[in-house]
Amino acid sequence: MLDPFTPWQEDPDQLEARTVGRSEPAAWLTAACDAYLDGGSPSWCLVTGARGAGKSHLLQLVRHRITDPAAVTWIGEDTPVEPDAARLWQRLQGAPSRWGWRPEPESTRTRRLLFVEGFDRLLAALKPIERWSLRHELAESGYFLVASAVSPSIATGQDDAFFGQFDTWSIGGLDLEQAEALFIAVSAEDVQAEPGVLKRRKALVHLAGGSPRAIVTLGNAVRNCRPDEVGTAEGLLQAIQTLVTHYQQRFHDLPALGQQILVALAEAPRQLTATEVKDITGSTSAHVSAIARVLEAAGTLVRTPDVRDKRVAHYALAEPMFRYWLEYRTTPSWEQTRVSWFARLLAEVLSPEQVLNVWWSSPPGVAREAVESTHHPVQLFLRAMAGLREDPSNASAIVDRVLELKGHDAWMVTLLAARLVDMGLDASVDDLCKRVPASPILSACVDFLNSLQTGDSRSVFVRLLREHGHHHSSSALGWALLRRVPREQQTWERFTPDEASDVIPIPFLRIGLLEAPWPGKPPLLQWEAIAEFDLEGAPDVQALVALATRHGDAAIFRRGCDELQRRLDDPKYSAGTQGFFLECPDPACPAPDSDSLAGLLWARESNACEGHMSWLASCASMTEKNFGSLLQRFQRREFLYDFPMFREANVTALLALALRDRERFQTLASCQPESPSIRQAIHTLEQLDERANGPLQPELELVWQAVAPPERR
Amino acid sequence: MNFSYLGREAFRDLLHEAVLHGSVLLEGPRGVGKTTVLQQLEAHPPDGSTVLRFDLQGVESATQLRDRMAKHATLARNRLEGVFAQLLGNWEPKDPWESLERLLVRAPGRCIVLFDEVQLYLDHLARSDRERARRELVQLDALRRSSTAKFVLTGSVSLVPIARSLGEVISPDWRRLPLPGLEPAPAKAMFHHLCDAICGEPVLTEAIRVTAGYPRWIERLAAETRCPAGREATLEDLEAGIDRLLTSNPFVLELRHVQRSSDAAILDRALRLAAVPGTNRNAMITSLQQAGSSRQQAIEVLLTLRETFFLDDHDALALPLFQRALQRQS
Repeated sequence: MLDPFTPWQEDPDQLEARTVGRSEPAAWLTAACDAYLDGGSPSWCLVTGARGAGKSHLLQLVRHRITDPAAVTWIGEDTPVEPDAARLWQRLQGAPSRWGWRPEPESTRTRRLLFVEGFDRLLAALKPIERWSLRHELAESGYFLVASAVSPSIATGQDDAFFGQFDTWSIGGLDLEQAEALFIAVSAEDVQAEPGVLKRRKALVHLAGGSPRAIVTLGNAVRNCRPDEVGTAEGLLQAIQTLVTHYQQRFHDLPALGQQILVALAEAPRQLTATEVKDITGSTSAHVSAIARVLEAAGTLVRTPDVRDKRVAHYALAEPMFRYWLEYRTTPSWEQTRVSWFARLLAEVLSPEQVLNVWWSSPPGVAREAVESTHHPVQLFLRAMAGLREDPSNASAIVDRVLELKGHDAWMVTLLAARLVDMGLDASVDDLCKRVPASPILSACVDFLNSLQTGDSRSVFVRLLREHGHHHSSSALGWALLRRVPREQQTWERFTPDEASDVIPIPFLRIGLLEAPWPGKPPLLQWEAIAEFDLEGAPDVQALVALATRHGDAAIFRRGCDELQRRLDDPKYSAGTQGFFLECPDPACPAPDSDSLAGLLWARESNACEGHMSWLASCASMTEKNFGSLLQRFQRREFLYDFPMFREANVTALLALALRDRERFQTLASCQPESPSIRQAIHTLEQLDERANGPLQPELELVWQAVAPPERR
Repeated sequence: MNFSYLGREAFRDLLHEAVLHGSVLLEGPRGVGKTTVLQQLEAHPPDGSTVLRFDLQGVESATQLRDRMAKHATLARNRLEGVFAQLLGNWEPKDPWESLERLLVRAPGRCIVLFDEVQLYLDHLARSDRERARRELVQLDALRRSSTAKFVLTGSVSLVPIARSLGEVISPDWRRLPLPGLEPAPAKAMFHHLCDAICGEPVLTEAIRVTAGYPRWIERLAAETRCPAGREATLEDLEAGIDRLLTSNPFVLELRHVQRSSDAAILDRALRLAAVPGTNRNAMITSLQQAGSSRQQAIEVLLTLRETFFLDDHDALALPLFQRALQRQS
């Protein structure tokens, strides 16, 4: 880990390796020192710059580069100040302390270099007359003085002892390219890292502005933490705390108007013009302009001309991190703003998905609350559902998290119950039921699970659907419960017309019941039960259309197509979640063998949506735009329900399309290269292509038989 | 008698020799006497040479310059034996530089062309069309290769920084002759002659120090220095004269030149820093950096001020009178 505050403790090689953008001042200073050592008499040198700009780094670098490093007496930054020039001069010469300690070995050299850090601080403790004495001592001694200071003001006052005595180089902030190079050197990241790392790097460099110390601190934050977003979040908090003193000192170094300008910029929601800054600070334009120029030179402020009127300049903070520091240090009601503060900080650096992962991977507390300000509770719920799949043994904690979500809704609880049921986590279902006592559907769910022991599960199931079928998530829960019915009990009688009238209005579940809910068992609903059903507004109309093709029901097929056609002109659908269904099945491109496909999907833990997917896969004439919308929809659904069946169905549907029309598939796939479903489909396709070279794996062979065109089987 | 030419015989010989062997950039600040030197060269040309002098102030194009030269040639018909006048009808208006060359090739004997106030011509062009100014500068620079005439270009700003600001470089083939102020003795003689008051040696010495021997400022200060009849002028009288002179804001042209620059703010700051007593190069570079400039910018600004004759080789203000004017403003 690099110490951003004490570069003189660093190994010279490492110091060289991470030197960025300072070649010119280093060459200038080295040349001056070498000229002095060679017998010349150059002017004393002064390096100025804001705190953390790299003055100590530069001095230390030059110390190692000059021809005779041993000629240097190094006076570190934290040397105690002296009010008396003679005592200070004694200290600068490296006089032994009371205990015999001396900072540098005594030397008999006649030409010595005196490197003094924070020379302005030492001078500030001296009265003017003492400064003249010190200058006299320095001049008489023949030392070559190389000093650093925050401001060059020690050498610009007409009456000051050191007026005109220094050749000065004011070092500013690094530009973006240099800052990134320094960040890479510190963080040890690859120059060509993966996109996520690149994005994070750019964000961190942007946060730091051009301040080398801030860049080193943030680079350390990334380097020393786990190489993931959680590590980044932890590192960021540490970095802010590390930089508190740094920003504080820099802030205090500024003149009063400089501080006011920075606060105005930090609090403003956008860039400010000079006139706005003038109005906010109550100063004059000339004064604001002059101070802004100084702030700009110090790398604290960025000034950009207006694109339309170059006479107008816009001011912004060069280091966005400053804004966070200021808020961190000055907000009176910190407990209330802490959460959004951290969330905004994370959002600067991480993508929303990464912030979500930070929340999920962190213990309940700050991160959970923080992420709620950037994410909708639904997104957090979906992440919790994904977490349940990742670690079923953590179900109890996940139940806690879902119930703690602000604005958690009944449908979330029901979906969680469905997932728990599906995974066989009955104890957690019981626990959930106790935690949400006012939820009748959960009680009914527990009753059903209990009924599996007694054997009257069918009647309990029918009652549940009758009483709670209107519930938003009854379909998912109903399907999950069906899957829990033991094989020996999968002998339910077909639903009576009366029962069917309760079940038919439940979207998606009815598809499964019209199909075979259990392999090798008859459907629980008769196809005829759907004959009179009004398809208008049905969310699963596509699946019903696909199912109609299997049952040869031209009437339902036509009604379904009419409904889909109607939606083409309905803004509610074209602009909403159904918007991607913009094309009807192409008669010239019929659906694949849906029986085979359905069997395959069932075997792969799919559900009733297979008809839906196979129908979609038949849309070979679908436009790229609609195809993109479709995939986004798929991905949302994968995340929403977190059932593998969706992903499998997507992949199989895509595969069907690829086998039937490879060129069309490639066109569509090239539009959405980042889709996991497409990637998996392409991978499977490549494996299937190997069929000519020998038999496939049994599973792939099944896929081939299901979806390959008959002539190729 | 032209007093401003006093004591410049050696420089005149140097210029004669230089101009016979090649083209010359005669450099010096405003008021140092460049125009007078050119006038003297015109009045007393080297043996066997014809000298043509043109003031480019107010000239807006090469065509206008050529026409001005043609007019001059017509007026000088007798001296030029009518050659230019015979050629006027054959000029090609589309290419003034080529027609200028054709004009000069027919000139009798050795021809020396003097262009005064070149910087005003280029500055005028650059304000409306930088590219055109750049092209004209290239044409002016190419004059050094002319086989038909020798050229002397002058201006109160060196062509070197003008060329740099236009992205060009002046050829090193030009002989650069800096014109210094008058030597102390002729300068004192000039002040003594022009001043109505009776001036003793201390007053004369201070007057020449303040004016740095520039004839124009000697002349103006002499006109402002007064004392009651019957007594010798004192240093206080001289100070009063300096005050009267500075009250008339005599450096308005110099300051206007700075204000027209793209780096006006930093140039102005550097000039005011240079006016601070006891200042030096280090102090100016440090102060400019404190005001927000980079070190490189600060160094370039000092170089520009040297090339525009505001600063001397030690980066001090070349004209103490100008320093006094800046101090009064501050």
